[in-house]
Amino acid sequence: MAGYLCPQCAVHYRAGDFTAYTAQSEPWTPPGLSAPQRVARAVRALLGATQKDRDRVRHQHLEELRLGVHHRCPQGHRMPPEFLRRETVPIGLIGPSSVSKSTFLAVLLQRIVGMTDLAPMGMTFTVEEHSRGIYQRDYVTPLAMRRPPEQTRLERTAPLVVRMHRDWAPDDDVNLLFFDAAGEGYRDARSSAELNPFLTVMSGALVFCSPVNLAFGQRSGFALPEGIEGATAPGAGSVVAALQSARTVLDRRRDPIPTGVVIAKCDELAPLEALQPRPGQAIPLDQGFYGNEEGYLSRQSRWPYELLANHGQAILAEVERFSLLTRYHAVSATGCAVNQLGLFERISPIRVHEPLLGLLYDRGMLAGAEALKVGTPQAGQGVHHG
Amino acid sequence: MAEIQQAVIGWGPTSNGLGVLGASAGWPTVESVPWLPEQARTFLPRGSDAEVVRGAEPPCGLDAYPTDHGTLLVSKVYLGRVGRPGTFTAHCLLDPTGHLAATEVLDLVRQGVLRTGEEQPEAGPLPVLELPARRTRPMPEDVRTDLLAALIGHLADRTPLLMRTADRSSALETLGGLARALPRKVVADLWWSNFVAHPDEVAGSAGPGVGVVLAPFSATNDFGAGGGAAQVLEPDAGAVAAPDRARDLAQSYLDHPGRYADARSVEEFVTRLQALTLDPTEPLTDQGLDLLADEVGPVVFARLVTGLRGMARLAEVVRAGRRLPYRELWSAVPALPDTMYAWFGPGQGDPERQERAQRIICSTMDIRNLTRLVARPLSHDVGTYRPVVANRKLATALSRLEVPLEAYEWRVLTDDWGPVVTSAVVSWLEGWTDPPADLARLTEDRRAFVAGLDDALDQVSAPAADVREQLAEWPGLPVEEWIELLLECRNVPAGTPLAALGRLDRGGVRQVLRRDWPRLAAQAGIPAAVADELRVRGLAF
Repeated sequence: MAGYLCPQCAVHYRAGDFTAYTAQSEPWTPPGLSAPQRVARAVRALLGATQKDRDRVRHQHLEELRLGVHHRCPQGHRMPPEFLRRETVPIGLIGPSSVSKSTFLAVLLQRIVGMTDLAPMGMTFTVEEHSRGIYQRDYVTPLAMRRPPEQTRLERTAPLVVRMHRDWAPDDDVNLLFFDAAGEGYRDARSSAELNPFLTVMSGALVFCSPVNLAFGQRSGFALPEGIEGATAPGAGSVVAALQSARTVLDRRRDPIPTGVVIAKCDELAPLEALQPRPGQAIPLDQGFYGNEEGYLSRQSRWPYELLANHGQAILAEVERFSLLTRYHAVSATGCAVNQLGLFERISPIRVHEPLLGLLYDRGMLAGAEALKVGTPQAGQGVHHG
Repeated sequence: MAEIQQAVIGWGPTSNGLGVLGASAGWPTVESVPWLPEQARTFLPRGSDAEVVRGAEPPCGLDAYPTDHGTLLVSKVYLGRVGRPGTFTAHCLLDPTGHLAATEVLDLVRQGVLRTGEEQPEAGPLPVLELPARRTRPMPEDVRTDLLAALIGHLADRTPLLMRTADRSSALETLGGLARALPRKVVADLWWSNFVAHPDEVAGSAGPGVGVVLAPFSATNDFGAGGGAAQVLEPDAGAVAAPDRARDLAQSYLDHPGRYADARSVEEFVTRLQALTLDPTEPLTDQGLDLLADEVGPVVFARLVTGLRGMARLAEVVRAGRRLPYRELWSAVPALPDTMYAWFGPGQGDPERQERAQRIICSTMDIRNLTRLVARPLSHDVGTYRPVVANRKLATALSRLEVPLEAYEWRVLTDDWGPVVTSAVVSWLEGWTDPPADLARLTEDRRAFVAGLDDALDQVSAPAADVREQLAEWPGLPVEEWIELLLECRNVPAGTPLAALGRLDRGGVRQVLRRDWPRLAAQAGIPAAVADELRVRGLAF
């Protein structure tokens, strides 16, 4: 990690660049240590902390909470609590307008935060304090009304930060920072750079397209819904343009960015999926996933990849230029389109967790989870049957 | 006739996102694509759809902005009820000449030119509109004075005026009233909006303009990134508070709106207002002085001279070489006679203020101008009252005019020994007044002093003993120096220098006697032989 990411200016800073303040905006410095104390602390660190040491650390932490100690980046932005203790992983949602990026994010968050879908896998998620307002307003409320999230504005939007707790690494929580910008902002590199400052620092990308971006010939056995078929469909060009502008912004990045290509609104492709050997299959959201992650993810990638290979070659080619570490997903955030009243009849997400699982795996953030798989069920058996 | 370009902006059916759906032929392009104005990219803040679903009526956005391409008028309509949540359509009119302003927006809405319907816009080319050019004079009297003062205060601070009103139609009327109250080009130089989505952001960075904040749709910033809480006025709740300075500026504008009607920008409007509404606590700038040179009139002049620092202000104007029309303004400005009387009249009883006022005025002028601009007009008033003369320069100027000295109350002497000094010295030596305060200054010109004192002593009619006592007791100079001067005067009563010796101690007396006894004795009328005898036998010094 190059440093600590400020979620407002999208810049990594060293720990020493941040300044601490109390709730009254007075500068704050941690209590100083004398030379013998530092030596004693180093010795204890080598020999192992005692209860007294742990008490002291806890006391200092409580004192900081009581004083409302917080940090500000060199630009003056207030860092969310605990941001300087955890790694922050920015995940970008890239794609043209109206490919359901926001809807996907809303449903994904509702599933992993509100409904704790990944708890059986040893992962729980909570929305970070400063993002709760956005989370409630932009994602929870619309879904509660069975409305799609609002059209993302063509302006710089605030990121949404989710804290991920992993049972197998309880002291090593991670901030997942999702940034969701308007699709129009990806039309050119300049807009992308202006509206999506996190592009240059993102650790994972979710590239979105939808059936309207694919080209289905007469013999494919499938046609787009009436009204958007044929010449009126936007086609693959907008997705390619979005990827190209993002790639231009990322020109100086040399490290591979784990990328999940998401074919959204896959419920519209149900007739095509029905032709597959095991249609509707999803990754089991339990610890059985661990140990065979690559197998599960590769199996799930197969059909979406074929879709792109057959009906969206331009997208596929551009994706390969974008990143060499790519997985493919076919998801549907809600499982259906809105009715004439603008409401979802029901919200039945299809495979919305898989893009996130793919990114986490490719980022190496699921390393060690297999140990959980070995230990926990046995312990569970002991509780129930012992 | 003005040619108005128009464009419709919204989300098209091809899912290409927000863009220009249709535009007239002359609509500007940026990098070969139709220009998508910043002001038409967003409308209601996020979260508004929930309010609409709950039953709140979404506002209709009417905005006017000055842009690089001309004045842009935008009408935005929320389409979330019939389309995807959060979408809207914007109908933009562009006046490349920059003449259109917020005042026209309302008229265009009434005429049905601006689209305000909640329907998906159609794509395609649009015609160029032709609107008649109109000239209107500002009508500040039609708007509430407190609101106008608040607006002018914000213009002076280069910050936007944000209002919150319960009734949307009255908000629109208030907005229109404020727009009509200002000069036309100033209105075109401001942004106007009947719906401000993010008041905090706007307050921090949008520059001068007028906007309306509407609950529950106007929102604060996300993620604590706001520029601070915006100050929002509530005209419905009663009179709006405005700083004193803003009220003064507004009053200046209300006094003479026509004087500012040709202001070409907010900057010029505010500068002229500030220059012509003098702040007693701030020095006048060169720019203000330049404006005063052209535009000083009775009202401005009244403000000039009646403030706390009126005298200093007057001095600045005079120092800059501006000619002040005292005589013409005397009757035109009701406050002027009172002020002038306060500076020169004996009845005001504030010698310090009078001294300060006269010093400031006189320090800015040479003696010629002082005589022409102040002394001569003042000399004409001696029939009405007896002016106080508290400045030496003014005294010198007045002493050269053909006016009896008794017409003034002299509190200072002239620069040189002249009739005024003579009169003051005579008055003193005769016991009517105290010794002149700065008489010692005149001893620098020793010959003139001696001549003048001799002249004054000639005119004194008091007994010699009284005169001797007055002169001997005068503390203005060190005793020995004073005695030297007295010895040079011909008309000093005999024995005066000897009497002045009485203010010294014994050692000092002995020293002076040893040195100057012959002259002292001669001045006292003691014969030389007696003097010598006294020196050898009697006094032994």
